[in-house]
Amino acid sequence: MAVNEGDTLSSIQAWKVKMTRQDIRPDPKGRTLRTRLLDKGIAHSFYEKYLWAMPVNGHKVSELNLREIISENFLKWEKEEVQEINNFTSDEMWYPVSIVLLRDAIRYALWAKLKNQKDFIIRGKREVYDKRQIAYSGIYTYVISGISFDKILRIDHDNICLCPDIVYECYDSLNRRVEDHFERQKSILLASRCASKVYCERLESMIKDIFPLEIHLSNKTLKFNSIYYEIIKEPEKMKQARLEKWL
Amino acid sequence: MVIKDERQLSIFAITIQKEKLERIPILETPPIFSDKQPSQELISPIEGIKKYGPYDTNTSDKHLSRKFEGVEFFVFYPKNEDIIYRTLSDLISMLRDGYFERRGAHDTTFEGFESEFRLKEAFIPETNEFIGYTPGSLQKELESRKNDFTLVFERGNRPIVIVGGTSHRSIIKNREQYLEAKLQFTNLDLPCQYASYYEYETGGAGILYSVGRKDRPFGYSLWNFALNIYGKVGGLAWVIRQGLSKAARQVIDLSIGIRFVRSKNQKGFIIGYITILDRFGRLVGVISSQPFKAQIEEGVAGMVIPKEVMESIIIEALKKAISDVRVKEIFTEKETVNIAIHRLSIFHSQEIQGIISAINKWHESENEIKYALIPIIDTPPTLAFDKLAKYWNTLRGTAIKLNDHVAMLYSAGATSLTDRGAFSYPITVIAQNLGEEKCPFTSLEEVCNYVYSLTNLHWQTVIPGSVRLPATLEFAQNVAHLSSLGIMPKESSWLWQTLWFI
Repeated sequence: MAVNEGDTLSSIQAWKVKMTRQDIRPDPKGRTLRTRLLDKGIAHSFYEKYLWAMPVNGHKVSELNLREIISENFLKWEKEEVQEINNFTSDEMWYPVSIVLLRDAIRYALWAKLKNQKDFIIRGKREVYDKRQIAYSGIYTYVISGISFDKILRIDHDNICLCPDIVYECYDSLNRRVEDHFERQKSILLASRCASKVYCERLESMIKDIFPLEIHLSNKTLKFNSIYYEIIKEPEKMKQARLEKWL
Repeated sequence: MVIKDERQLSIFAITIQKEKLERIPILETPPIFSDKQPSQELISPIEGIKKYGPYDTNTSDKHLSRKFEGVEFFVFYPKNEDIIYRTLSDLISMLRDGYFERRGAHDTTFEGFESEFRLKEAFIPETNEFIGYTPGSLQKELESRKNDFTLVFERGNRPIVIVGGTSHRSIIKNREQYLEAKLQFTNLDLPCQYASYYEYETGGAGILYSVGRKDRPFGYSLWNFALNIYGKVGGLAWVIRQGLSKAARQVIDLSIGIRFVRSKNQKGFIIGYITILDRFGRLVGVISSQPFKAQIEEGVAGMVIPKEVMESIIIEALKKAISDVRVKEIFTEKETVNIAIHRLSIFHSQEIQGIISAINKWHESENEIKYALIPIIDTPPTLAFDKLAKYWNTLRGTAIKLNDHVAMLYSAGATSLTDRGAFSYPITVIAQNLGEEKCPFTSLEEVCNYVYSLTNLHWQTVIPGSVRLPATLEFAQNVAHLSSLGIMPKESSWLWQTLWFI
């Protein structure tokens, strides 16, 4: 559980533009709007006939030319404004807007941090695979591990935490992704069966190349330094019948 | 295909409160094999069955005691599959005569089905009495044997069909063999236990494959196989003793689990399957909803069940419960009945309205009902590591509060501080209406204890700590899955008194 130790998520500046998905200008190269905007360091979400967007590349909203970005990617729009979001982690904003923007921001931050490192593969759902982390090697297949940053939780009033999880990918001896379900499942199952301590060691070994991670979200910078949060022990509450005798 | 309906995004509903993070004490709920068993005796399923016998042979409760004297096996194998025939022969002889080999240090013995489950008789056929059939023509083969199955009941026994085959649950290849067996025997009101043999280039899978592996322990697999058979003929191997609520020694009288499957006939439609368990964890019945169009609401992740559908299935579930002789007494004796409803996602306000409406309508003519809404999320938002344990594996039964309504619960996993096994994932327990007047629980601790106890009630395995979800959701998932494949007993079938679906 990596708790954000940077700015909290209050008073975030975003662009709010009246338009819908139907107004998206088709891309001659067939790229999705998300890909196009993220290439420019912009996160976005559509909600209630508005486009909500913000820079995630370290710039502030005032430093970028919104009209230029809009005209490149949309056929029409009605009005644009800069809005300060003070309820970023409220239920109302969290599901349709905030989580979508955060996902884009994480994806961009991972790409920015690891783009020059050849040992890493970044995949769609905020997954970073480390080619050096071979978790299992069979006769015909091998499995590498990676970290998923797909789980994002709200913590306290206006903060978030990332919950990194180990993910696995299975390749054959010609470095092709194994598509056969049974073979793939078997190899990944073998690779993922480990005690908690080994799990943590794997996670730590991969995360040290990624953390500290700074995620820019408009005028805010989130900082993630550690994956652990220690729960303070309360000895009188720790009593529990044990199951040593069971096996 | 089963929709897991994890509503993956529902983990967003969780807001961790750092100052609330603390460990919740969870009490072990030992399986009970006999009314005379000391209440604090922690005993494994194998030890319990060996020491006391199955629970239904040791109880004076007429509703819980065993209703049959013996079990009669019918063994089927696909013709021209010599390996199946041979391995099935080995497996069946172990069921009959026992398994006393010790294949390695971590193996266990099995004294035979009749002896271990304290049956008056278990008729287990010799190899030459096995019935060969041609896959695709099983129905034809069964035509002439229907009377054999009927006679079993007249002898006061229960039938079980063991079918060997090359299908395996994790692969698509030869799946039609498995489906044909399940479908044909279920149509005949016969419980069916499939034994698979699957071999691939570098190994194999299935109990028949394992029979021949002399270098691997087989005792636990055999026990699991036997336990499944016992459940499928209607046996009750153990119960748990509920003492879930400290307030007024309350128990949850009915636990209801809801899961979903896509309708095969109507594209875009969903069917809900609801399992109802009594306070001992016995299956009271299964309700299926009418196919309904899944609603996707803006701002809400995942699917929403329409209010009317939810209202209808809850009323049907209550009607089903009260029509069951084992449960009826509870409704007649108690002024207030406590129920808990589980699903794999948070309850949407529309769904809650449906539940409230159903309960209010019920109260107009019957008992008052207190209800707990308990979403279980099986994709954990976060993990806990116990640095005091040798391998940091978190003990099964560990619960950690994330906020006033949410806890993560290790329902499976390590059984000791020195357990070096693979780590397991926790489930997330949400007490959605905790604190409201109609909620029977008074604390998150009670809710976690309750959910934890239900994870002991699956009767699918003798290994403690290997099933993560409570029995309600496990059972509903199995029923929904089989139903989606067209496999479902008739409404009046005796199979509804058994665990035909495990």
